Amino acid sequence: MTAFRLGLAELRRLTSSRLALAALVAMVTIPTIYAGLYLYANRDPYGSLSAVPAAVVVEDSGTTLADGSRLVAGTQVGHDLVASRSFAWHEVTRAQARDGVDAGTYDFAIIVPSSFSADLASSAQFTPRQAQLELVTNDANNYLARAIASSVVAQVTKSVAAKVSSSSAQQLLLGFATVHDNVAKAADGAAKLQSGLESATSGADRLVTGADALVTGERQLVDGTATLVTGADRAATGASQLGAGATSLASGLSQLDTRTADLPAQTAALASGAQQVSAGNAAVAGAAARVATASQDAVDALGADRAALDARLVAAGLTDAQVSAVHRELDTIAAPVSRANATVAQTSSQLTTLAAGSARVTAGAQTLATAAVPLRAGIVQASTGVGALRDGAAALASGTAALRTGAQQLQSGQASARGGATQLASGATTLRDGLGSLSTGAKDLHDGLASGLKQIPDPSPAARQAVAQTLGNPIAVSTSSQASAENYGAGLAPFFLSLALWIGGYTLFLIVRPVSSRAVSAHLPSWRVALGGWVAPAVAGTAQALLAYAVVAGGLRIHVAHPLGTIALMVLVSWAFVAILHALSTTLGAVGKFLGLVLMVLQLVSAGGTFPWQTLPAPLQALHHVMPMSYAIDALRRLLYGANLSALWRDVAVLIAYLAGALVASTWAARRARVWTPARLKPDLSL
Amino acid sequence: MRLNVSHASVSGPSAHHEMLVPPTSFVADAGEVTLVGSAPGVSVTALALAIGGAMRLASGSVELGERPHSDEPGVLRDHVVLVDVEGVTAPEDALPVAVVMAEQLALARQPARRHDVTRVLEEHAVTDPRQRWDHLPAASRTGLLVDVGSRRPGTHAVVLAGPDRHGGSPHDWYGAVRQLADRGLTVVVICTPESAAAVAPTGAQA
Repeated sequence: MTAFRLGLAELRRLTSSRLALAALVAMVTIPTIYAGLYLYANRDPYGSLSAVPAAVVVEDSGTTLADGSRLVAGTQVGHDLVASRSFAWHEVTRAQARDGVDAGTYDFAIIVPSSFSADLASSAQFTPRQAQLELVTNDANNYLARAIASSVVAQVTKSVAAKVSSSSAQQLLLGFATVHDNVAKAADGAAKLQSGLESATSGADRLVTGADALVTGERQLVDGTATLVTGADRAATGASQLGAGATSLASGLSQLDTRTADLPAQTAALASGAQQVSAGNAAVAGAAARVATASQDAVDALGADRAALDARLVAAGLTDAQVSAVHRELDTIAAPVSRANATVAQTSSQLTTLAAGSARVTAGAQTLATAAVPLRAGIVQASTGVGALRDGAAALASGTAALRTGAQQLQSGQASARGGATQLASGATTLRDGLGSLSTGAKDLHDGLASGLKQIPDPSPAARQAVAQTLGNPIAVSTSSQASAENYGAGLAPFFLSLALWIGGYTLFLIVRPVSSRAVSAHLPSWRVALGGWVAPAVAGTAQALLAYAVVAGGLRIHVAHPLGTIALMVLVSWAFVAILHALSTTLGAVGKFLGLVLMVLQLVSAGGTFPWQTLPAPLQALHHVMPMSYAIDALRRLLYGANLSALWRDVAVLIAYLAGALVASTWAARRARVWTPARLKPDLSL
Repeated sequence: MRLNVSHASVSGPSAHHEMLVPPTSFVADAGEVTLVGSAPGVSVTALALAIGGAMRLASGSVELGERPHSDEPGVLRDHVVLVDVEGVTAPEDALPVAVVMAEQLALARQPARRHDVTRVLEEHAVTDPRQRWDHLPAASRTGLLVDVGSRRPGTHAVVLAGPDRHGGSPHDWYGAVRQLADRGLTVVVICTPESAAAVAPTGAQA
C-alpha cells in the first residue's frame, strides 16, 4: 500500500462523517482566521491614528520681536497639529489635559507653554533659551502611544525648529547684506573722504602759502599804516597849517582887496604912462639907431676902402711895410672909432632894446591894465571865496585830525591783524600737516574697507532664502528601499502567516492520526508508514496555506511581489511544519504534541518577526538560527516584498532539510511503533 | 503451525497498574480454532498484540512453530495476522465498506482495485458497498476481515480479537473462523469466556 494511499485513507477517515468533515474544514480555516484577523485588524494602525484622542494645550502668550512684529508660534503649532489630523486632537486647558491623560480620555497630551514664542525668539536677542514642549503620557493608556507621541513631538519640534532657524538665518543673512551694503557705502564715503582730504590738503597748502603771504602783506600793511599815520599826522598838521594859512590868506586877500581897489585905474594910468615912455624910448631908439647907422657908416667908410686904399698906396708908391704901417695907423685911428662905433652900436642896440622893452613894457602895462580888471574881479572873488576856503580848510583840518586818529587806530588794528595773520599762518601749517595725515588715514580707511568688503558675503535675496531654508532644514533623508512593505500589516504578514501555518498544523494533529496502526501492524515499510501518516495532514496543510494566501493577498489586498513563489513557499512551509509536528507526535506521543505548542511559543519569540532578531537575548538568538520559522519568515519576506531572492534558496534548503529530517524521525518512530507498550494501550495522558 | 503461549503476561503501564494480561497459557494448533477467554477491553488488545509479537511480554513466552528462534518477535510479526484488534487493526466504523475493504486488501498486499473489492464483497454477499462499516452485520464484518486479513502472504496464524464486542451471537462469526481453520491456518479467537462457552462444543481453553 503506497504512502499516498495511506494518506488518502486517513483523509477518508477524517471526512467520514459530517461532524468530522466540519472539524476538518474548521481546522483548515484556523490559519486564515488567525493571520487574516490579525492582519485585518492591524493592517494600517499608523494610518488610523487620527481616531486616537490626544490633547493639545496652547498657553503661548506670544512675544514681540525686535522689529515690532508679533510672534505667536504656539498657536501656529496648535493649528498645524489639529489640521494635520495625525491624531484626534482636542484643544483643551492644561488641567483638562492632565486629567484626561490620567483618566484615559486622551492617550497623551502635548502642552505648549506660555513662554514658547519668547524662548524661540530669545536667540535673536542673544539671550538664548531652549523652547520647551511638554509631552504628558500615561503608559496605562497605551505604551505604543507614547512612542508614537514622541515621534509626533519630534516632527513638531523639527518643523518649528526648521521654520525658526530658517527665519533666524534669513535675518542673519539679511544683516550680512545690510552690512555689506553699508560697508560699501562706507568705502565709497571713505574714497570721497580721501579725495576731499586730498583737495583739502592742497587747499591747506594754498592756505599756508596764502597765510604766509597774508602775514607778509600784513607786515607791509602795518608798515603802510605806520606811514599812513605819519602821513595823516603830517596831513593833519598840514591841514591845520593850511587852516592857519587860509585864515591869513583870507586876511591877506581882504587886504589885497582893499589895497587893489584902485588897481585898475592905477594900471590904466601906468599903461598910459608906459605908453608915453615907450613912445619916447622909441623915438630915442630911433635916433640912436640913426646915429648908430651913421657911425657905422663911418666905420665902414673907414674901413671900407681899405683895399682900395691899399691899392692906391701901392700905387702911390708905398711899400708893403708902409702899407701895413698905414694900415696899423689906420687901425689905430680906426680903433677908437670902432670902439666908438661899437659903443654907439651898443648903445643903439641898447636903446633899441630899451625901446623894445619899453614897448613891451607898454604892451605889458596895457595888458596889465587890461588884466587888472579881471584881476580885480578875481581878487574880489578870491577874497570872497577865501572864506569858504578858510572854512573848508578848517574842516579839512578837523577831518585830517580824525584821519590821523583813524590811521592810528588802523595802525594798531593792523598790528593785531598782523599778529592774527601770523597765528593764521602757523595754524594753516598745522592744518595742512594735520590734513596730510588725515588724508593718509583716509586712504588706509578706504583700502581697509574695500578689502573688507570683498570678504563680506553678499548673497542675492533668492540665495538668502535658499540658504536660510537649508540652514533651517540642513539634512534631508533620501530613503532607497530595496524592498518595501506598504504598511504595518504587510510588514507583519510574513510573521503571522508563518505562525498561523504552525498553529494550523498543530491543531490538525488534534484530529489527525499521525501513524496508522493498521499499517504498522501490517508490517508495511516504516518509511511508507511515516510518509503515509504525513500525507493527510500535509494535504490539509496545503489547503490551509492556499486559503490563507487567498484571504490575505486577495481579501486583505496585501501586496505580494511574487505570488506564485509565495504560494509555493507557503505550501512548503506548511509541509515542513506538518512534518515536524508529525515527527514530534509520532516520536513523543502526547508529550510531542505538547512540545508542538512549546515550539510555537519559542519560535514566536525567537523568529524576529516584529523587532529585529538581533535585539533578542543571546539564548533566544541561538534559537533563532535553529528554528525553522525564522527561515520561513525570511523567505516570505523576500517573496512578499520583492527583495533579493538569492537568500531565498537558503531558506528553502533549510525547510526542505527540516521536512526530510522530520520524515526520517517519523520513520524511526514508525519503526519503533511496531512494538506496543502498555502505556500506549492505557495512556495516562492522551491529547 | 502450532502457537504455544506459555504463561505470557503483559504488565501494566506502571507499577501502580495491574497487569494488562495476567499470565496466560494455551496451545493453538493448525487447523484448529482456539478460543481464549479474556476480560474485554485492553486485555484483549494486549493479549492479541503479545501473540502477534507486537508487545513485550512481562513473563512467559509465545512461540510459533518448532524452529529455533521461534519466539523472536520478528517471526511472530511475519507470520501472525492480527484481525480486528481494537485500536490496532480494527477498521474505522464510519468508513464505507468498500473503502474499508480496499484498505484491508492493500494492507494484505493484495490488489485493491475496485473490481477486487467488489469481488470480495460479492463473495461475502455484501450488497451495498457504500454503507457504513458498522452497519454491516457482525458476521459479515468478521468474515470479511478474517478472510482478507488471512490473505497476507506468509500468514500461518490468525488472531481474531474480541469479535463478540460487536454484538450478535458468537455463532455468527464462528463459522468464518472455522472456515479459516479448515484452510489449515492456526486460528486464535480471543473473546469473553461467555462467548467461548457459547461455542464450547468445539473446545474452550482458558
